[in-house]
This record gives sequence, C-alpha cells and structure tokens, in this order.
Amino acid sequence: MAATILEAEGVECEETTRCLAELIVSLSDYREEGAVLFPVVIVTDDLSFTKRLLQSWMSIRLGKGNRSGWTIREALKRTAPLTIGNTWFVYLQRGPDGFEYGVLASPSSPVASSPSETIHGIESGPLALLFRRIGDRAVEAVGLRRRTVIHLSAVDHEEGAPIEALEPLCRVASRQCEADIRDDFSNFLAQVLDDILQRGHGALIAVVAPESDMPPLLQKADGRADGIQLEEAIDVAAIYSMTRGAEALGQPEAGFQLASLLQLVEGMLSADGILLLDSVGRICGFNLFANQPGSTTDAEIIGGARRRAFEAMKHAVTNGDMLAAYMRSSDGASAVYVPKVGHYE
Amino acid sequence: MSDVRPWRSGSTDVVPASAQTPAEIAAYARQLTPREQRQVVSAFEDGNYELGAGFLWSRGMSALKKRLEALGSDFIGEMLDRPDIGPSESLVRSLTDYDAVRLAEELGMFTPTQSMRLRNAMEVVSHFSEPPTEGDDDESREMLAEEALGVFRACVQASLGQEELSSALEFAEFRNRLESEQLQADDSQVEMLAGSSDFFVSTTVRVLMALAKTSEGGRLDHALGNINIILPAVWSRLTDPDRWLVGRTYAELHASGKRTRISALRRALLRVNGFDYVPEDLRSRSFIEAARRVEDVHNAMDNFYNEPAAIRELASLGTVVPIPALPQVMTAVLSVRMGNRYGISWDAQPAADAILSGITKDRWRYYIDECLARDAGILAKFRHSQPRQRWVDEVVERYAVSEVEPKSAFGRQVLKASVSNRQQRLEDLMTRAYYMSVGSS
Repeated sequence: MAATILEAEGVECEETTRCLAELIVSLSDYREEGAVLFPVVIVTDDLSFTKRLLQSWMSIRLGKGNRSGWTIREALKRTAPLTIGNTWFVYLQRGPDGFEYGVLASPSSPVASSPSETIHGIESGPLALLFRRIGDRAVEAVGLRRRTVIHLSAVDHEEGAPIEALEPLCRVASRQCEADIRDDFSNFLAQVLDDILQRGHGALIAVVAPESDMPPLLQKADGRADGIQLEEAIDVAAIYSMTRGAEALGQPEAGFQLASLLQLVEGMLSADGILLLDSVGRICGFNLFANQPGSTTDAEIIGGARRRAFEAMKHAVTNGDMLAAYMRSSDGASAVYVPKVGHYE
Repeated sequence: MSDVRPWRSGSTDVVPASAQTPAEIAAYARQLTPREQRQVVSAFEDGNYELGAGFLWSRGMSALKKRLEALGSDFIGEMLDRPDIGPSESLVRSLTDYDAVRLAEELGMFTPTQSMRLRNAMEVVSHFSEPPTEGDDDESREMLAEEALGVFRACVQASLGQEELSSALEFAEFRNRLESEQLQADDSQVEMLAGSSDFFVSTTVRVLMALAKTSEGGRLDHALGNINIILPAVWSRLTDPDRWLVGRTYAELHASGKRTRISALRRALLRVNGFDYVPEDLRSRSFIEAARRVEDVHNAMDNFYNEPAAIRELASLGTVVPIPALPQVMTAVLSVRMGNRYGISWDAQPAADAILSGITKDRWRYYIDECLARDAGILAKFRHSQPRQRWVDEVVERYAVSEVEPKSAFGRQVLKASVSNRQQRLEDLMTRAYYMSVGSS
C-alpha cells in the first residue's frame, strides 16, 4: 500500500521510499516518555510553496540529515513533542543532500481547510505527502493524487480513508443548515471530527432530527436520557458561520471562540458513549448510552460493546428514530449508516 | 468586447475657452438650478471666493459620484479593492473625492488636461478649507479670483456641466459577462483582453477576484471558471501588485474556509506558477487598511490636521512591511512625506520618517521598479515644485535611495534625474508616466 501511493506521487528514489517506510512504521505507534503522540508529518520538496499553499504563518528549522532511517527517527524525536495540541505539524523537506526537518504552524483560522484536505485538493505541484496515525497501528497517507490507509497489523482491512466514512455522517448533520454554508460546514465538520478521532480511542456518533425527542434507544426505563442531554443545544454551525464571516472582514478574534468550542467537542468525544448531533449542525448531548436488551456490563470488552451499540443505532436509523449512525473503533476502522434515497449505504 | 475607453468622454469641452466670467461659466452648469447659478455668481462678484468654490466643489463631487454609481457601486468597490462598498452603497457617502477623481480619470471620463485641472481644483479647495496655522496672515490666505474661477471651470467641465448618464457602459457590461457567461480560452474576447491596456487587464483581474469572494450560485461558477481561463492569458501582463492581489485573495478565501472558491483559485495559481505571490499569512491586510486610511485623509479636507494620527497608526504596525502591502504603504507614506504644493503636515513627519527609515534597499528597488511607474497618486505630485523638491531632498537624499540600483530603465532615469536635481527632467518623466498609468497615451 505504501509503495502504491509513493509511486502514484512520483517518488522514485529508493532511499526516499525507505525513509518514508521508516516514517510510517514509526508513526503507527509513536511514543515519547511512554506517552502516545500523534504528530502529523508533511514531506515536501518545496517548503516555501507548501507554507503558502497551507497558509502556514511560520516554520522553525530544527535540523537536517542524510536520507536514512536514522534521520527520520531523529527528526521525530526532536519535533513530535512540539506538535501536541495539533497547532504545529512536522515537516521534512527533501533536498539533494537529505532531509531538513522542523515544525510548521497550522493556519491561523480554525475554519481554514486542513492540510490533508488542501494537499489532496491539488492534482499537480511539488511533492507534498502528509502522514498521520489514525488508529492502532494504522497510518493515513495523503498525497496530491491519492489518499490511503496503511495498516501495520495482520488484520485484513478493506475500508478507505477514515474521512470517507465521516463525510456522509456530516452531510446529514448539516442537511438543514443554511444553504450558503451547508457544503462548507459539512466538509469542515468532517475534517474536525477526523482530526479529533485520530487521537481518540474510538467513538460513536449519531444524528437526529432537530427538536426531536431523545431516541428510545438512548433513554432509561424512566424515559430520561441515559447520559448528558444538553439543556440548550450548542449551535456549532452558527458559530462556524459567524467565524467565516468575521475572517472575511479581517476580524479573526471570532476564531478563538470556535477553537475553544472544538476543544470542548474533543473532550465530549473522549468520554465514553455516544455524541449526539442534529441535522442543523448542533450538539445535543454526549456520554449517552444505548439501552440494549441484555446490555453488557462494564466488564465487557470495550470494542464489543461499541460494535453492539452501533448495531442498535443502525436499527434506530432504520426505524427513523435517528438519521445517521457512525462508529470508529480503536484500531481506526470506521463505519457509517446513512439512509440514501430509500436505500442504505 | 473591445479595448475601448469605458466611458466615451467625447472630449469636447463643455465650457468653451471664450467663457471667462463667472456668469458666462455658470450658464454651462446644467446641474445647478437657476437659483444656485445666481447664488454662485453673486458669491464670486462679492469676493466670497472660498465660499463659492467650496460649494461648487461639493456639488461637483456629488454629481461626479452619482455618475459613477451608474456603473454599479459594487463594481466601483471592486475597482478600488474596497469590499466595504456593496451594491446598495451610496458612493456620495462612501467614496472620497480623491478616489472619485482618480477613478473617473482611469475610466476615461475626462481628458488628461481636464483631469489635471480638476486635481488642481481639489488641492486649492482643500488648502483653503484648512484652518489657518499660527502666524498665518489672514490676508495672504485669501483665495484669489483666478484660483476660484479655475475651480468653477473645472467643476462645471467635469460634472456640473454634464448631462445625466443614460446609456449603459461597455465596461459594466463586460463585468456582467464575467459572471453570467463562461468564456473559452480561444474566445476572441479573451484574446482581445490579453492585448488590452494595462488598466483594462488590471481592472478585469480585480473584478474577478472580487467576484470570487462575493458571487453565489451559478454566477460564482461562471466567475471561477473565467478565472481559470483569463488568469493564464494575462498573468504575464500583470504587475507585481496585481499578482499579490490574486495571492492575497487566495489567502483570504483560505482563512474563511470557502472551499469551492479556494479550489478554483488554487488551480489557477498552479497553472501560472503564482504561489510565490501568496502570502503566508494575512498581516499585510492590516498594513493595507492603515495605508488606505492615510491616503484617504491626505486627499481630504483638513489633511495636515488629520494626517498625524493616521500615519502614526500605520507606523505602529511595525517597520517590516510585508511585501504584498508595500505598494500601498509606500504610496501612503510618500504622500505624507512629499506633501502637496501648499506644504506638508509637520506633525506627521516623525512617523513617516520612522516608516521610511525601515525600508531596505531591496524594497526601494522593488518599489521603484515595480510600483512607481503606476503609482498615479505619487506621480501626480511631481507636477508641483514643492513636492518634487521634497522628493529629491527628503526622500532620495535622506534615505540614500541613490544607492539603490534599479533594474528598469524608468527607475534608472528617475534616480539619475533626482540625484542631479534636474527638476524639469523629473517633471517630464513623471508626467509621462502618469498619463500612461491612467491609460492615456
């Protein structure tokens, strides 16, 4: 898989190929001082072009080395701890003598396109490859022409890039948003969730119709929500729209509000249970649990419980209690259940 | 579409040379009511020249801005790179007199001579609207009859004597086509555009960038498609400031997350290898807006009084001016430094000096080679001896600009004339460049 994408991106140098293979292996389970880290690494032949393309306002060079696995490991060791919080990325600039490495700032605006979206959006240009861990021993590679997931476990995986499962979910979650932001908000939400879930341990997300009752699946016996139902839904779409407008007028302060809100979403997703959205782009609840007949206890294997909950959510979608259901497992595998013109994907 | 003057000025003088007295000139002021004509003539005959000239200027500018509104206020906003001017905006309220005159000139509403007289009139009215400074003798500040008459004639010629616009203009029609039709690369319109004047090419690009930011639906699709057709056809003709405009548009769209628009502009920039002109952040926006405010106050009433605050705000942004903002910043700070034929704002000089002291030789070279020949506002100042002399003494000599080695023939000629203080040569060079910059041959 790795060779396929490198070939598609025109990487013919054997040394580079070996270095990138080392990078992929390192990223699949990268730890420093025992802590798991999730650095996003951008490999490029032209740092200046990449900075302008991604709208990265600053780069800091930290070292260089020849085209070898040692350089890659050294680069990660020096740069990965600086990227906690995901406001900085690692860069590796390939040159005739080897690799120069350092860190790149992420775009200032929280509504800006993500690096993976931007890189995959152009079909030609200098080499630009993005690598990031998306699950247990799973690394996503994004190039100008292809994006793919490389699994380093023995398990047979067939699914594509994680974002491909998020996109239908987010289309449903933005279905009733204002027309002028609908498509962009859908893409934005998918990117945000993709970024957050990369660092998580798995997740369940459901979408319901606005102002609808809590689905029976998520209720206790007494009819109350089995988890946290927000008294007032958080209108992410509205804050996104306001931020976009403010950015266009040169008032970037609104971006702080959105960035702050996204941190909250990350916290909600790190909690067990289901994150509940509605189709106007609002968060309605989190830490919600599926009320399944013969439901499991805490002693059950987490993965199994998540899968069973997802199956129950699919039934809720079929019954019309929910509009869409999504699951991401700890190994990065993901699945989505969305009605499509009377059929199911 | 053909490369014609967007406004067929006709070029016949509304006010014949034989009209010499206020009453004779007033007869041609179609847009003044009979009562207003009588009042103006009376003011002149009573020697109230400042009052009369001030009234005429105000009415003249209102009438001129109304005529520009026929093109569409949003189109005017696009030409001036002012997103705050929308389709329902009143230009009388939102357009400065300076911008109105400059725009009308670039659109060919006046001949170069008429334009020169109007600019003179603007300076006269502006100067005499300033409160007297300490030590200023009231007698010496009296507007002279011939100065007032010059203002009268210029205003009537430029706007008060013109009839109301009744026909659609080719330029506004072309603008509409950019968002209502999909052009093809081999389209004769695109080919003609590639061979058009610099002003026309520049304005087309400005319009396309504005449409990329503001259009919606099908009109947006056409505009984005036309960007990918037109930009490659004209990229080699664009000056650096216009290329930076395209790059800045990409950065602004990226920051606001408008994905479809970003994607189209990115494709176009890749086709022309234009990413060198994409700034890495939007710091330049703050500089451009502050520079714009300096220009606005410099060309408005009470400019000597208002310039200090505006230029200090620009200086407070820092002395390292981002390249995308350099053209506008240089125009603003040189305007303050050179002043006008009546003098300079003394209180504004320390901040102007701070900014100019931070301009490196590379940046001076960039400005002289890439920007000065199209900087109409600065070029126009060289018609008068005082700003021209200040350029030599307070700019070229003070900041050692003579040590810059321009690559362009024009830049070398300008510096040579400046260093040797050849005033007439400087005036001739800059006047010729001025007329070329506004599209006159």
